[in-house]
Order: sequence, then C-alpha cells, then structure tokens
Amino acid sequence: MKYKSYAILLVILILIILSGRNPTEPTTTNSSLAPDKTAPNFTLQSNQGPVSLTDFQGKGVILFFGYTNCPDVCPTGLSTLTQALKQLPKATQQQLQPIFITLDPTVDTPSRLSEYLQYFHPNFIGLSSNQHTLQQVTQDYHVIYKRQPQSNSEFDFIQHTAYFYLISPTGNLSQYLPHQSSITSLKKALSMLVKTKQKELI
Amino acid sequence: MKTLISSALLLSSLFIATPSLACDDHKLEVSGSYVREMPPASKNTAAYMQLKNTTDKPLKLLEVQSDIAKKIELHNIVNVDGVLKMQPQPYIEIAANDTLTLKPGGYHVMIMGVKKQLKQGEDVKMTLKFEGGMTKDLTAPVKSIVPKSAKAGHSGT
Repeated sequence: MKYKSYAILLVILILIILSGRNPTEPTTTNSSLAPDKTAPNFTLQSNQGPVSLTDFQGKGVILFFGYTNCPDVCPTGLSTLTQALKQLPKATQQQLQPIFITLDPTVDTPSRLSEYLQYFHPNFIGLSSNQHTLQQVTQDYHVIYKRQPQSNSEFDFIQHTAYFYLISPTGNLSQYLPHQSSITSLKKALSMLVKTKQKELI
Repeated sequence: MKTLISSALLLSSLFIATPSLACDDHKLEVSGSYVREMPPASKNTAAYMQLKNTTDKPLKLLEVQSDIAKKIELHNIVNVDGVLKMQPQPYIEIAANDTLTLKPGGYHVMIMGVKKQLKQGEDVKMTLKFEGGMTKDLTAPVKSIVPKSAKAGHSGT
C-alpha cells in the first residue's frame, strides 16, 4: 500500500516536470530565453580549444544545434545559412559568427565538426562537449532533442528542434528563425542583426 | 476449398502482375532526381525527385534499391510540436494523375551508411520498386547543396 502511494506520487512528479516543458517554440515563459534578453552563455570545445559565447561580443552570432549524421534537416539549414552569408557584403560577413553545436557529442568530436562545417563555410565554428554540459546548454536554449533508435544502432537519428538563434553584437537574443527560412529572409535578418550594433553605439 | 480459391487467386494475381514487371514509362515519370552531395565526415545522404503518376490509379513506391549504401529507406520529416522527426514510411503513395515531390524537409529517399563519400559530378544508379511489381531504373546525379561559385556580394539564388 505504501509503495502504491509512492508510485502515485512519482507519477504526479513526472507529470509536473513534463508539463513544465513547452516544446513548441524555443521561447517560453522562461525569461532566460526571450528576445532582447541576454542570451545564455556557454563554454564548449572547438577543435582549437574552449569557446564561450561571450568571446564574440561585438559580432552577431548565429547559433544552430544539430549533428553531422543528420541526413536532411541540418544540411538544408546549413546550406541556407551558407548561401545567405555568402550573398552578404564581405564587411557584413566579417561581423557575423556562425556557430554549430552538436547534439550527438559521442560521434561529433570537435575535429569531426570542423571537417564537416568547412564544407559549408570556412567561418563556421563547431562545438562539442560532454553530455552533462550539453544538457545545460540545450536546456538554456530550449532545444528539444531525442535519439530515435533504429534497428541497427549505426543508423540512429536524433529528433530535434531546428532554429537559427540570432544573437546581437551586445549579446542579446535578437530573434530565432526556423531552419526552413528562405535565403532572402535570413539574409535580411542577418543584416539587421549587425546593424543593431551601430544603433546601440550611437 | 478456401485455400484452393485463395491460392488460385494468388496465382492469377501473379500472372496479372507479370506483364507490368518491366517499367512502363507511360505510368510513371521521374524528373529532377538528384542525390545530395555528402559533406566530409557524414555517412548519410538523401535522394530527391519528382514522381508523376500518369495513371488514374494511385501508385505506391515500396522500396528503392542501390548498391552504394548499406541501407535505403523511405522517410518523411514530420514537425511534431516544433521537433523534427524522421518517420520511416512503409510506402510513399503517388495519387492518381498527380505529381509528388520528394524534397528536403519532406518525403525523401534516405540513404544510410554510404560506402564511399559521394561527390558532385558522380552518378548514383538506383531502382524504384512499386506495388504490383513495376520497377523503374534511374541514374541520379550527385548535386551540391552549397553553390561553390557563390562569392561575397554575389546575388544569385
């Protein structure tokens, strides 16, 4: 009998935890991730050592979460982002820092990420970490992801939310765009992102 | 008696299926097929194409075969509360007199465990298998999704 009530308590607890998560969009009632608020900082590993978000103060940051074995969603998003970047004037490109954070750290080592991302754009930085740190970062950015096991584990997929998080040169989350955004709308958003720097300086 | 009838039915259906075993181009047209070039370090890619069903009956694509990969499946990307899930499909149906486009972010041919990194300029041979025994051979070019010639300030889309 005692165990039964414990079980009920546990179920209620789980339900409470689950109900607190809102997977629909990366912004929720949690004020830590809202437009115009400081984007949560992180320190993760690149192939050239640790990298923090605060290292890029003064630049517009485009943050994207994914994994290199992603067969459709990530390559599509990265391709759009690459094309948007390449179509911007060189000066604007230099004020932008695209960052890719892996959701599959056991496979995606920093060097593997670097090799993968070079294919898209030489300016990309790829970041990996241990599961624990990654869990914190994905939680901060409201990224929902889950391994989708296949019959042969070699072919596991990861379900994930796919947004471009645009972070202003002063470190505020400016906006987030879905990965299927058009090159044109992404280009426009990136130009605006860099302009916020000038506006804030005046 | 029952089994006799069902086996007779089964046999006759085999005979009916036989004439259409070789692909009938008048039934299905494939256009714009390509396989996405693979970034280094990735093992998976996808094939995309347009499938035009010119008959007045729906056609079911059951399987795609090719010797370039360990495993090929039919998939769809489904957005569930903002989370993108890849859903394996037992078949992809092309409605009567309709065209279905397999494209990034939607239905696609999932190519997993590719034996050799595919580069632009190469061709991939594959066979589409449909319900009823119809097959369609096709050669899809490998295409880059990142235009390599794009330079700063270049406005081509």
